[in-house]
Amino acid sequence: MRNIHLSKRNKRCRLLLLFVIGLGVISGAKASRYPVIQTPQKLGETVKLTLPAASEDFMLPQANWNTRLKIYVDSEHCCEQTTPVQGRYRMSENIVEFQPDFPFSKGIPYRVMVDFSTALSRGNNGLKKTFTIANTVSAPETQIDRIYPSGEQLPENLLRFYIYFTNPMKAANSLKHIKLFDHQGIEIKDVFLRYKQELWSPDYKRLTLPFEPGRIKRGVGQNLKVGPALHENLYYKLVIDQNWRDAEGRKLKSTVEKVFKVTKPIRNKVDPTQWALHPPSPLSREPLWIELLRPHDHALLKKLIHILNSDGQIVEGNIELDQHQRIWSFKPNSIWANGTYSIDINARLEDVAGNNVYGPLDRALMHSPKKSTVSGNVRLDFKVGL
Amino acid sequence: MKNTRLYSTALLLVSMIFSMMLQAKNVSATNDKTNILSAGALEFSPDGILFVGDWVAGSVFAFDLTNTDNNKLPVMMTVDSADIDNIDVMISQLVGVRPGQITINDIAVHPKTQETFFSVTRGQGLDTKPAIIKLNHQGKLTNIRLDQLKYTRQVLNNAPDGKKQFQVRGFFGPPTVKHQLKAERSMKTMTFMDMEYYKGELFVAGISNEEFSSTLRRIPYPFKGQYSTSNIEIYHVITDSFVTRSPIRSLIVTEFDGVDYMIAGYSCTPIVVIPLEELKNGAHVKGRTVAELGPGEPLDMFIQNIGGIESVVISDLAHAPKIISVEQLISAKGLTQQDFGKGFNVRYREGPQGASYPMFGTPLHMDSMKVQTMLKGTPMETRDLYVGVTRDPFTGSLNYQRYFPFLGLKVAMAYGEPDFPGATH
Repeated sequence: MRNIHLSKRNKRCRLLLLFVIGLGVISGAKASRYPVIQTPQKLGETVKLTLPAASEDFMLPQANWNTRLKIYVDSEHCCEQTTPVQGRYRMSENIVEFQPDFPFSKGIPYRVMVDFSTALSRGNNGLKKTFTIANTVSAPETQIDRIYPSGEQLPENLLRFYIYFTNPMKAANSLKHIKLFDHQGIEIKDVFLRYKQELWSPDYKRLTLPFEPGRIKRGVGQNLKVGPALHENLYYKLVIDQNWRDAEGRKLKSTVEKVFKVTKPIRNKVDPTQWALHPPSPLSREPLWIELLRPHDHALLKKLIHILNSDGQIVEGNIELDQHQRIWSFKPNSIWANGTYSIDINARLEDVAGNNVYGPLDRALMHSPKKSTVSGNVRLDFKVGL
Repeated sequence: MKNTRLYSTALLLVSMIFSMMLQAKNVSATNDKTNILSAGALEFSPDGILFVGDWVAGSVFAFDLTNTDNNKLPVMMTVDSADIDNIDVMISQLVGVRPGQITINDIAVHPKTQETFFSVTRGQGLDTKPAIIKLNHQGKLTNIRLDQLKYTRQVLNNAPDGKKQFQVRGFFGPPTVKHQLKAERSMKTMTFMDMEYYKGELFVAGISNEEFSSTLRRIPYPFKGQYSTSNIEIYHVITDSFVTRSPIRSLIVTEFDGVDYMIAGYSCTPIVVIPLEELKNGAHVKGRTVAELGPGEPLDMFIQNIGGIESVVISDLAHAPKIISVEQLISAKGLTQQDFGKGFNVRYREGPQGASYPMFGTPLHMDSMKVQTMLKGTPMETRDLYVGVTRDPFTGSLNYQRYFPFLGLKVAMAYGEPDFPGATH
């Protein structure tokens, strides 16, 4: 019985043996007659190899454990030509412990290989075991948090969508999971920009999804050949399918659809002088609100508009957007004084079609390109009280 | 028995407190509060102190690697023997992550052992750790356990805080989403662009949190807690403008005709000479632009004597490494706005251009290594090599390569006449 030939006799025997070893581990039996590999379950844990105390077979008094117990990042090609993970080895009584220099990472498969080949192991040439520390994120399932622009009516020359997720996503093959359908339920192909590097925020929770520029700009190749992606007065459906995986490898909670109607293209520049201002009452913390007349880029709205007091200092406060990025409102941290304030608008502010204060994104060439008269920032004054 | 244990526990506690106090004293002397958080720019002193720029902690760490077992120069018998393909994959395996989950930030060659050291970021996103990896002459990689080394630390004043980002700019058109994402990078990552050790001082090029952020810090080593800072301004011919914010990308310091000079490379790529004596604390220094090498970004610079000529080797993200004589650079006439001032023109190439060095693939970080060679038909002699990381043009793999400056050839990678049957070579 001591002399079990693992390698050749039959597989069932090996399975049985593994089962027995497993039972031994579960029952905490100390006196296993065979070596047992204990692998980490949680971050920061080590690999332990317990040798049978009573058996000479696996005793390797001169063993150099860093050549006999090796841990690899597992892969199809593992483990020839693979560099083992570096770590410290500790031997105490009959336990060899391996502590990696950097803690084993979650979600990465590792393989433990033990080599007994020259020991008096009577045929037990080695042991191996793979393990992965589970991503025990108790974070709730990932879902789509918001899609911008959030409106249900979007211009024909819409420049991009922003998709926000509740958890970090895996950045690969995103376009496989995003589809756009027309009112007849037919998928519109090649509608989004394919770029080798997807446009993720650094935390992988926001994907920027630009339309294929060739289909927005007039008179260029794709626009002439296959026409614009969206057509005025028709309905479309953006579908983001559930099979998309997050960074932990989990599917999304549900498929999300966004139905929208396409309106006239917007082909003129953002003109803040046309905005309708609604000044607040003095000595209050009422919001200032502005009707922007068309939906704007939500991120830029929060970044590129500031309120300045009469000394030109930035007034601290809180910006909110409403009416699907058509209303910009600002509530100051302290009360409004009587006097003149100004709204400082960076000329890079864009609407959802990519037009900014400098000019429209897509300008017909036959008209002589007007040089923008805007440089840097635009200021609009408003009075509080008085 | 119990009493003894209590007694020994108390003793242990007392000794722990005592050692903590000792450490605390040590801490205040060297300004040590935390461990290293990131490993960026690398530089060795001639006796083997390894300087590591930590942009997250805004500090330079100096690790003591002076104690080496073997200071004999390595012997190279053939040209390509020491090359290692997929060096990044091997490093990722060593530190226990998947390929693609590490970044190689810089390399430096140990002046005594001539072993190559890599500064590495292990992991991605928020969960990253710094690592210093050594490659020995047998091709074995080792993670250096930094916690086992003696070290000192110099905290930088005025390092950018983590909040500042770059401004968005387009190029011949409005900014695209890519331009916007580019601007989202933290400016803090440019705290260290390059470091050069010279005569007891560490020259650190990078940025500060000031408006004219291009900064050169002269830090005495051993660290004293104090150091001097200069702001640098240069004229950039291609853009016909003055550079005061964008930092020096790479630099060397060298002596010429009894005067110490800094030679520095900027993005896009003006080369600038500044006598060291001008780099005084608080000074606003105007560098002398002596060459324009064209659009690119210098990664590393080092000095080698090539065929009896002291030369600067400049590796660059966009061109093959350039080799330019030190004398030519230092004695070159300054390029000024009066001479040019013709507006933006990316085609300007001015001043000494040197020679391009052919490397296979895209050359990235480089350094110089001393070896003993005994090539076929030549006697044993000591030579300086180029070592570097290059990216294979076809597979994209990152490869570690060594080159003889006089040769510039990787026969193992290219096919020529001698590869064809019947050809003689």
